[in-house]
Amino acid sequence: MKVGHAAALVSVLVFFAGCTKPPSEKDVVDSMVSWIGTGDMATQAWLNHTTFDKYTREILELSSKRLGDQSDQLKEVAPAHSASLDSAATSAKRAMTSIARLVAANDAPDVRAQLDSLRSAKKIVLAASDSLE
Amino acid sequence: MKKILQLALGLLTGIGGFLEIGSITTAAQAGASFGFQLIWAIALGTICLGFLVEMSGRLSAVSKQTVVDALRSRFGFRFYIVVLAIVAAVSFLVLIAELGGIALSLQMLTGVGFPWWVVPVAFFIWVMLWKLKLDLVENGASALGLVTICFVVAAFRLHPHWGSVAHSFVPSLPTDNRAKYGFLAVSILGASITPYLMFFYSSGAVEDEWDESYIPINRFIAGSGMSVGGLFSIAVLIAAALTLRPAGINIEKFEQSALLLTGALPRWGFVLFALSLAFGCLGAALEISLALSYMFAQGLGWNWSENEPAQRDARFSLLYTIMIALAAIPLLFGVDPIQVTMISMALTAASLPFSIVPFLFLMNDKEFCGEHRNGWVSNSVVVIVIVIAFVLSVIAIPLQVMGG
Repeated sequence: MKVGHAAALVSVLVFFAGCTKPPSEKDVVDSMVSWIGTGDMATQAWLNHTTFDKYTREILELSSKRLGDQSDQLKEVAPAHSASLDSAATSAKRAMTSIARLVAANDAPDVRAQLDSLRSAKKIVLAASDSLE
Repeated sequence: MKKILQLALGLLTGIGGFLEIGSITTAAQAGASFGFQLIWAIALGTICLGFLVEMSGRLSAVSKQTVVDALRSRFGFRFYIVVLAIVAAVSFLVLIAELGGIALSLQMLTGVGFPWWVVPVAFFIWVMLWKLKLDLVENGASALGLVTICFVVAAFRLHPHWGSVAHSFVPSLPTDNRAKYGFLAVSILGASITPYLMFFYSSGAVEDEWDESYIPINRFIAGSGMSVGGLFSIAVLIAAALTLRPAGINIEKFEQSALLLTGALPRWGFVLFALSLAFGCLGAALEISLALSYMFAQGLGWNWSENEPAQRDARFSLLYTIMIALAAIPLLFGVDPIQVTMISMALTAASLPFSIVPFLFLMNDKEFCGEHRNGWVSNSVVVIVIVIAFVLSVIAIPLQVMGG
């Protein structure tokens, strides 16, 4: 490849990189719904004896972490978002962390209780997502 | 009798070897994000792939040459090097993704992080290529790949609205997220229309000494094998649309797609998903490693054959050894296989004109295909799909990048 071609290619890549825009509030809230949904589904699958303990713990920890990341990002892209959304995200994050710990202890009844709490939080985040349509 | 066996094995390869990390990931993402709406892209990609595979087999059966040999003699070495550079670059990215897919499936089954599996997996693939002959490599992996039928079972068990499924064979635009929709359509086309498969298939045809009597078998294998394989891909999309989408899940990490079968197949869904991913990616990794070696060895005029002992074609064997080792390196550093998959699929779609257009020239050249040259139907289908894939990739890739 000639130097000129390489320079043109680099310029295009830099241009696109520079054009990258931050996600919208709707994108962030949808991602929060997605990670809470992942935690919900993984927990239900574990309760149905479908998935292995280690995978379940890992996906819950990952979901909890990503939810936390999205909550932080939401503060940047939409500082004026509702307090109830914040509180639901915190509650969902806490529930997923607890479920991961309870899965390790094989405590299905308490997992069910935490799953109810996760689903309540999910409803609030889902409603916030719908309101941003 | 031999031909009937080859027909059955060819069909097996088409079906069992169709799903791999690219087709599973793109179909699952499409189903999770847009429901059935992107089924048309899978159908279009599958039809195009069927035509291309049939053409590459026909070219080799008639001319007794591989696609690489024919490209070199028709367009010259310098031109071929450009095609080789483009196809090899995107195929190498796909090889990284496939190795990552096997490692990820082992992570799901054992809980041990995927970077730990990369070296054993790469070594296992290398040993298979070093020790086994082509038929065993191809058919063995494809037989294991039949486990992917679990996606079809899951799709039926989820009772989709078949009218909506049928309706989705006609393209339509979503109301929002059009950049993502376009990017996924491009990625699906890139996952379906894999140029390395043409090089692999035509090399296999030459290794198996096909002649013109194989043309009907070739047509059947390409048509039926790819069609059924495409249906498997659609089944993945349907399963994702009916399990992940209602839960609001957009696949950002591959671990999320492991939940795909847990609703429809509660007892074995998770394990079957991991096995499908492992065997599908194993078959694809073997094929890509060989295809890359075929492309280089044939292009450079070296000895090549998977059916010969490694010492007879040392440079050919060295090529896949190097490719596999190089592909393992980024994964050892924790590069996310799903990101590599999405990038490689989109780039594959964008690169299609560079590999397919010269190939179409060959398929219309009397010197190579004689009276078995392409008809207008084959030419039109492939040209239309390649133009769609290219235009979509030129529009959607920058939009997706700019959209973060």
